[in-house]
Amino acid sequence: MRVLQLIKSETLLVYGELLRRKQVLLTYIAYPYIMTFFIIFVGSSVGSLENFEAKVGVNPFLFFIAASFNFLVILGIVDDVLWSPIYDDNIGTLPYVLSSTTPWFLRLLVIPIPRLALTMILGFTSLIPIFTYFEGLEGLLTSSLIMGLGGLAGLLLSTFAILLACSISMLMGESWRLLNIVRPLMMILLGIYYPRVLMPLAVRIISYLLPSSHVVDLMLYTLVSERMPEVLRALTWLGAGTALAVAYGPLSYNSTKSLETKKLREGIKT
Amino acid sequence: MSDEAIEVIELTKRFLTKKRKGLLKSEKLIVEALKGVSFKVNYGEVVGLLGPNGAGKTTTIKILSTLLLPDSGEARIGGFDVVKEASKVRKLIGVMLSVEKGFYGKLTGRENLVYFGSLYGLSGAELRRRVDEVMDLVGLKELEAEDKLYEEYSTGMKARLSLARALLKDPPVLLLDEPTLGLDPMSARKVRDLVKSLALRENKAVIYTTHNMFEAELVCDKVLLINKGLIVASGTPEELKNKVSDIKTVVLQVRRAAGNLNAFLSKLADVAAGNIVTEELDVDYVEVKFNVRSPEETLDKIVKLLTVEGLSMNSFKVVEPTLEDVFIYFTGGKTS
Repeated sequence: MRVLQLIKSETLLVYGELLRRKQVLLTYIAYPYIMTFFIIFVGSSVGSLENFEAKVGVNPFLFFIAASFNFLVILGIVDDVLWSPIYDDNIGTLPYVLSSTTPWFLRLLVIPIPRLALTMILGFTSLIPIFTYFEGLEGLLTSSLIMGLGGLAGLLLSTFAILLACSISMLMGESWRLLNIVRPLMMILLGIYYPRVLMPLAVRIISYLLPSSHVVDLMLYTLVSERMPEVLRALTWLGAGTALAVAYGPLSYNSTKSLETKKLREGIKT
Repeated sequence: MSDEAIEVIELTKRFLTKKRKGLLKSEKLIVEALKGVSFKVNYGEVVGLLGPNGAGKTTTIKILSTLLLPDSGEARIGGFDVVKEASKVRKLIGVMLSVEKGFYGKLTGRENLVYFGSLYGLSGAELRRRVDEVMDLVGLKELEAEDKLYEEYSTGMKARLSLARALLKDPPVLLLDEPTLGLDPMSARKVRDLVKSLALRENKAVIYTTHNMFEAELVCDKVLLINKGLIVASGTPEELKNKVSDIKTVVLQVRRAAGNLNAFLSKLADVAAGNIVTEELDVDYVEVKFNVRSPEETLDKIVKLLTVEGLSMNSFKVVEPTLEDVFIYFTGGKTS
């Protein structure tokens, strides 16, 4: 009941902060298209669309619209979790959040859910039209599956994102500039635009430690093989992702507690 | 629940700050914000924490709000320790830390309260009822500001909303840090009246920090004078004034002309009891305020000093000490 109420109130916040800024909402809708056309424009100036399809095995428009949609999902989670303590600190809401009866960890877990839901809805304006245009009814099914997997990839990232946010704040202090480092790193490490099999070993190992990267792998497999993944394969990837997300749970809880204690020792800015 | 709403025992807090020395170098400084503060607040009582900037008022409020860990000492709210039992304390307190910020600009006043109400554990019909009640109580309904975006609020509305948030869960203890700072007289009065009635009618314990003496005298049942991290005097406003009853305040209007005001003031320090406060009235006149034990005897000395330094006196008044004079007497003349 309490979690449900928290999700409702966070939805209110997303509604206010995002939907009442129409230009932000438009950017959100346009983002997958902008990224797709940018990559295809740069790519075709050095290679060709046919060459990409022959090598990767999928239409580049489908590949990059799916990748950009997923990046938007991941970005939403990372931004929400990393940004929220900094934002709350800046606008002076942090003291009221911390002195409330809701544990900070619970709030951080709940924060990204409404935006994730909104991003999933945006799949109807990006993934579904493009996939249906190129592949008809089959494309509609594939895009729906990709949307679902994208949402799951986002959800599974929450605990790791909290751990990352708290660790960065503990070690380096809080700065919105750090987001500019974390965002592209996530883009690379999750294998959204750059498949994991092509990564150098060290980077691949780090990638394996990210819960969402396994779901991204499953999604890329579905996209490239143009068929539903076998049950065992799907369960292995989803299981690995879920197990990692759960394993990060206690670590991220403790990191939230440590950050809270550090902040309380220094004093919350009012 | 304990009989005493708030009990603070020998609270200390030190901060490590850095003093910049050029581009790369900095020097570490230790600031002692609280040096052993102790006091008690009962239910139904408004206690003013009065002190100049940097005296330790906000530090005390932050510790009581569970937003800052003390170095030593104890603080209890409703019998619960603010450090070891912070989650229980949070259920008992309503906090107002800033008048002008602390809300989401793109949400309306009502939506902001719903949001924070959820964080405070309220939900459903109870949440809606409480939001309605507190908005009515602080006068936001009267101003038709409930469904206005927070970013469109005036300072007075923001203060009222901040107080409404503090009252959302109907807490028995209110911690209000300078709740009327920057408000117009009407809004400030509304806030003061509300605080007073909450203590009187709903038996709430209130800590009210301010550096406005007039306000402290109006609102507070008891005043704690805090300076440099220490409580230097405490009591009701009347009791505090009685503490300096043998002292009278002399208000002198001096005409500068070609005389040496600084020399006069330095010699006056031998005559005055405590500190001397000066205020420029215009280019020619300066008001000099100081406490003396026997005004009749000192008048003669003052006239002599003025003559020696080439100054003349426009007026000479002896008044009963106000809370401000008590404050000046105990804190060393640092009014804000």
